[in-house]
Amino acid sequence: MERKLAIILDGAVAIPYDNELLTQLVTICRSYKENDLFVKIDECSLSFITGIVSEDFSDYVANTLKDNDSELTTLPTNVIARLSLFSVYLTVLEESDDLKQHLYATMFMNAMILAKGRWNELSNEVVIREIYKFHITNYLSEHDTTGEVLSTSIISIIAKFRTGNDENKLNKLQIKDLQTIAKDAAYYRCDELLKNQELLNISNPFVRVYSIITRLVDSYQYLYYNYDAEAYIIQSANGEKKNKMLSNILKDIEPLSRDINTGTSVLLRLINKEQVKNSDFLLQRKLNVIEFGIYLYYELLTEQMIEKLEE
Amino acid sequence: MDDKIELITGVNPAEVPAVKPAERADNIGQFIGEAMSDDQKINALMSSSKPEITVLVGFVGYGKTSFVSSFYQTLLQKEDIAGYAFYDSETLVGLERRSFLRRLNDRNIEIAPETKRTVLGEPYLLTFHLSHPQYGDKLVVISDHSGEDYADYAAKKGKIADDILIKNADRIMFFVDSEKLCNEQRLSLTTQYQQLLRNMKENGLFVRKTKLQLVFNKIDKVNDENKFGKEKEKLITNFEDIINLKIGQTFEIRANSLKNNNKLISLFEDIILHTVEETSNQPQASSLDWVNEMINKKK
Repeated sequence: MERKLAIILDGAVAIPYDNELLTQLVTICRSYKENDLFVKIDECSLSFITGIVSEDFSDYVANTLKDNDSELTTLPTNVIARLSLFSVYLTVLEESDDLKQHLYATMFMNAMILAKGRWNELSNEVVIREIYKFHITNYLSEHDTTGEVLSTSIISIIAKFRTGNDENKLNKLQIKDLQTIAKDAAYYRCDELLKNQELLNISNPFVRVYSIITRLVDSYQYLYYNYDAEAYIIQSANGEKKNKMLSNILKDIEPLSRDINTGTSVLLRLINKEQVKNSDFLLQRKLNVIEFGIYLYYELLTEQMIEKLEE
Repeated sequence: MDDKIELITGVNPAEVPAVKPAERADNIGQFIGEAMSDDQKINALMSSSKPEITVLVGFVGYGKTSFVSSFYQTLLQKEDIAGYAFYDSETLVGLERRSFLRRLNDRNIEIAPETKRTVLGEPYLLTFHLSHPQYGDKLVVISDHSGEDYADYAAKKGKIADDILIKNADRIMFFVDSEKLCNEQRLSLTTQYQQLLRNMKENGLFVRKTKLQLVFNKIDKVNDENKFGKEKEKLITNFEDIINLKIGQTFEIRANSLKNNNKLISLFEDIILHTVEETSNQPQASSLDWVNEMINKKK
């Protein structure tokens, strides 16, 4: 990992750090808030992407270096920003729980909305792309192995159940069939929602997508099906390709917005009228309907998954 | 803070740099020090981007200190250079000491015909914090070793290996005394440079990303332009043969005067704007925009 850190810091330090210091910094980045990794990812992602570094992280680095009797204790802001990226990278790569690993990466990717329109100001494209490999869609496509072909035999068996004890007669294979039916039902609900005329008649495409997506994710009783989210969003957009400044989109959806529980998401925080560091630039950026829908969808999904994990 | 700026700029009254007080707040209290002599200290300098390092190389009397004094003086006198305003330095004492006699010189006081030069072993790292209203802050570091130090590097093979700053420089400017290049001292100039360059090469101090430039100083003292042209070409070829790299640019300047000296000002602008070029390492707009990548895949 020292080598990786040296690569990340290349272009940030005037004279490359020696191995001893790199080893110390790897340990520091690894140990920072190791009991609350979601908070760590949120804090470090924003530090790196906005360049406005977290004081907590900065102090932690300085104090630990001081405790280690390091010659260098206070590091420049640009170095702290890159250490923040390294902390995210390390946390994602070293997480043994598959779901958490993908949630950390998705949180980071959600926060990347703050870099919209200024992507080339960020360093370390290769490292960022390595984190991108762990987006939640990759987890879902790998783990959602429930079949999608409807089994008809199980339907007739269940339909004939008459007493409360009949379910005990189901064998393992039939339970698998039931899981398939449950998934099919979940997909059916999504399709029905997407056909809801009341929602489809909303003329403002951003308000329409917002309404459909929030109701869609709210309706998920099981979060880990590999829903075709992009198709849902494209369908909700109904061919609309309009771009709109984010500040105006937020005004449009303001009458509908409700307080969404969010600890980490940029867009949801802005919808909730919470402060987000360095968001002025983003508020002036234009998003098209589908982009807006995708950012919103994955923020909502990530929040729900984190909430379920913490329950 | 403002009173400090006025104090500094008061010698040659100039507009206070157009940096908002809030932007300078973090750096209050840095107007304190002598030049630095420990290369590693550069890593401790507070900056929002990588310090941009320019190393001035040359032997005694070639004009390195005159050059850095003129750079400092210009930054103080002008509101900005290429839009960048000078607002702070950790090494103000070092800069002031180098510039003191220069100022007298500019005011035609004859007691100081030359800028006092840097002496052997003297701290040599000078810092310039600059701010641009649109592009933000940058930190320019100039290494102004004494000519004796380079004579030492030329004479003792392994000594230059300790100079980690040269290896990590973004720009190395080799200063040449144009007057000497055209007179009988030419041989000693070229021999000394040959030795220095070989030692630098043997110690692996030439890195491809570093900008290498030749600065022909004291151009106003050249009487025979034809001879200068020939010797200049010979010297460039000589340099390139030894280091096996191309010298990027050459400049002909007089570093000790700011009067009607647009070439010098252009070089200062180049130092501020183009010491670190944008690299191909910077992300392509599309590669990090994962949402649009997702949409395109769906299409």
